[in-house]
Amino acid sequence: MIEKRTTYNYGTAILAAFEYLLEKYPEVFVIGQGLWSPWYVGNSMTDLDKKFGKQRVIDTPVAESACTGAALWQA
Amino acid sequence: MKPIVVHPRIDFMLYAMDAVVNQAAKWSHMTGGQAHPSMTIRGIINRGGEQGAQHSQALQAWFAHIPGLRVVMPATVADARDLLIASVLCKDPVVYIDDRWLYDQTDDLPPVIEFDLRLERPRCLRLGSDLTIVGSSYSTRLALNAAEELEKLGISAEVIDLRVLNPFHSEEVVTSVTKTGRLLAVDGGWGPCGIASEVLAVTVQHINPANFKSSPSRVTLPFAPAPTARNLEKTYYPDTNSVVRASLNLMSS
Repeated sequence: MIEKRTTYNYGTAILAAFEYLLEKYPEVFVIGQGLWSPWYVGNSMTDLDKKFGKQRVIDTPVAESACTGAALWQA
Repeated sequence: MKPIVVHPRIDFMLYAMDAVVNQAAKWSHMTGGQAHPSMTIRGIINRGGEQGAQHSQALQAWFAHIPGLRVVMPATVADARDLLIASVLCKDPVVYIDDRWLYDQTDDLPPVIEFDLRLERPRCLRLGSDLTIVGSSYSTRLALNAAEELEKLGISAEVIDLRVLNPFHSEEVVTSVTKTGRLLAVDGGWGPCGIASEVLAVTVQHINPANFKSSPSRVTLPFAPAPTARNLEKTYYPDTNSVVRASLNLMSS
């Protein structure tokens, strides 16, 4: 039997990892700057907020320390 | 919960160093293993494009220096997907660093297999006998391109992709350099106290000097902040030619 393979580029491979994790693990969430308009990360996060909701894909203000600290507390 | 924090530019992740270094990296140690902050911090390296010195840094060595963190730097399409999944499923805090210059690489991947990040190690991506080129992330891409050019010149280069920088696994590098007798370490960061320094250090530490056919060498950034002008960027960042030239120097010295 031939194994089913899918073509990715490096960016869509990262996107596929996010989708896999968010679909399979309800405890996974994503937080960071510009996640609702992630134009600056290639295609690596496209539409995650639309697929998985803005509660699990959280767009933050420009506050790196605060969002990392908040995420750490959740871990 | 298993959070993934995204820092679109690793430069600005420095604001979060206290949470990463003083908190996340320490909890397991300080609580006798009772607390594992299972979080992944994605930092993106965003070089070139005339963005200037504050938006272009490759700071992997900072995080590789800290015990209690794991640091992964995928070079291949398969690792971009599977190491991110392994990072998030890992119980420890992980810094996952990707480089935008790799985003166009393509590959056909099988369905996802969940790996245990603790077992992932450097990997030999190309077998060779004359010299060993060690890279990570985009530097591995340069090493592979250079190996192809070197083959046309009759030189057989082995390429080792580090993949996981923290904890730093030296065995694969040491085994390869013991075989070839020549080492070129390539890193997208600066030279002093960087990843390439560590690669050189483990080989001189673990390999008998008599086994070296030439002194180990490295290709890194010039020790200066990144320029902004396009023509200067072109000379600042190492490319395939830089790696080929350094390899030829190793072969002739």
